[in-house]
Amino acid sequence: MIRHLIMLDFYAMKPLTKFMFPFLLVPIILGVVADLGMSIMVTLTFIVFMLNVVFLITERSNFNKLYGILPIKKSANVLSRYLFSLIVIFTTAIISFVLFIILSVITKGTVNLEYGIQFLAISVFVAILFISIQYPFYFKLEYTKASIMSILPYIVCFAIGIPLINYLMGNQEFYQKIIRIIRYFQSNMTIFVLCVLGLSFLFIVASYLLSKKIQKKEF
Amino acid sequence: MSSNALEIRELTKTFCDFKLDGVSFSLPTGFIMGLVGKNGAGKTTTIKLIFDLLKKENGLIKIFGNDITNNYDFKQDIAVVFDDLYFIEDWKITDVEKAVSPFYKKWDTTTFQFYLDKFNLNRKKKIKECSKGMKLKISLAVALSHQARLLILDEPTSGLDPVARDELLDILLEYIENENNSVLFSTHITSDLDKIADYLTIINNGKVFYTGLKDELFEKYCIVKGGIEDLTPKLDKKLIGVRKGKTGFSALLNVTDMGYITDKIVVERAAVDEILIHIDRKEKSL
Repeated sequence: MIRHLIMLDFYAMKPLTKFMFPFLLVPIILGVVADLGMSIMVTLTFIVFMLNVVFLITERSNFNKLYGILPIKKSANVLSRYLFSLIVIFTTAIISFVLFIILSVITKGTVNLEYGIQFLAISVFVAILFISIQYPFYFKLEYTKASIMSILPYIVCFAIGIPLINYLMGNQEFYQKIIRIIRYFQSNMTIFVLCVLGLSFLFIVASYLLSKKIQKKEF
Repeated sequence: MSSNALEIRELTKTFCDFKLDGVSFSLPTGFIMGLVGKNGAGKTTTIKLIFDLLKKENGLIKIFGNDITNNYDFKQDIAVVFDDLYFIEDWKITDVEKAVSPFYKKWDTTTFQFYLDKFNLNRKKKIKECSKGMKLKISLAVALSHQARLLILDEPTSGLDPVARDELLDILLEYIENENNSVLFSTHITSDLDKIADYLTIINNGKVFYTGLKDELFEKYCIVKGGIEDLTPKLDKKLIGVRKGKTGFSALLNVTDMGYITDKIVVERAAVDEILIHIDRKEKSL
């Protein structure tokens, strides 16, 4: 049943496909003129915002009524939306990485795989972090309200996070520790990728459980 | 097999400005029941509670004899047509089948295609290009293609022209020819029910005023009309939703109270519309 619900999300996204393919030009251009690693991040961030639009499309089309009518468990659509999003994110990650390799060969003649994997892991992490923060809002609130509310955690993070980081970085001992951690991960790529994927997994599971708990149940 | 396709007992749901208050009725298998009431009476709330689109506070809902609480597989056997569509506007009619059919064990593509042809629906047409009548037909085609034994329609005829309404009623009569099939038809256009309903449930302000055979309703209530001078205090107490003018009155009356009327008072058969008007008038006067 989950498989059919994931397919339903793909069908729902069908009207967006015509906008998605031209967008692939943006990371290609960005990769050529700026930084190849950044092009992976831009593509994945864009995909996250495209995924949010699925909530708008399904809300406009009364999909909550459809979910009520179909012979499915009530919370199944929450799990299917997360799985659908992960499929889209990982597919996009693969496509962007292939683009990264192709563009590297064309523009530089060589491929810096380590650099590419680093950016890929961070980009996937950021994309998953974004949906983990935003989705509970979309499951709880109407699209317009959720779009506004889901910005709040970022504002809070910036408002508290930046002064906090500035304050902590002022502490030389703390600063040195951070630098050591960064260097450790730079020299241990496998551990870095595993840590990033592990954190992503924790965020997405926590977000899913929260969405399942707070999802709007009456329509 | 249960003799009731649908059984609802003491169904209760409270909103800030409305309460569905202990609604109970049964729809025997093989019949059409009209769920009647003015706008906001509680018809859609009842249907949404059946489909778990709203959480009930109290009450029991049984479909084919089975309690539906925490059960979703019963939806294989029932279908619903709401007055609005729940498909993506950019989908073509063929996309609807691709998206919905995998969920139903008994989906029959031949039946779906049959209804598309019968309703003259262009398969390549997008949902957003369809008229209200066409959208209703798409919903019906979906509803009838997974061999549902209970069809629930929520105000399907509102906004349809008389020809389209008549077509819908023909489809329902055809559907009910299979004696295992049943229909719950919510509407405030009561003329539709005169043609097809066997049973009626009248809801007013969240409460059931009448539930039972349609013909028994007309045997139970009548409309009485007379001059103001004929309106005795005893009769006034028995009348339901009295409409008084300068010279006369009209009201609904339970036939068991016929002893209170005089020869001058005219007694007429009550139409569903008139019953609705008078029971609402009674509620407002309380």
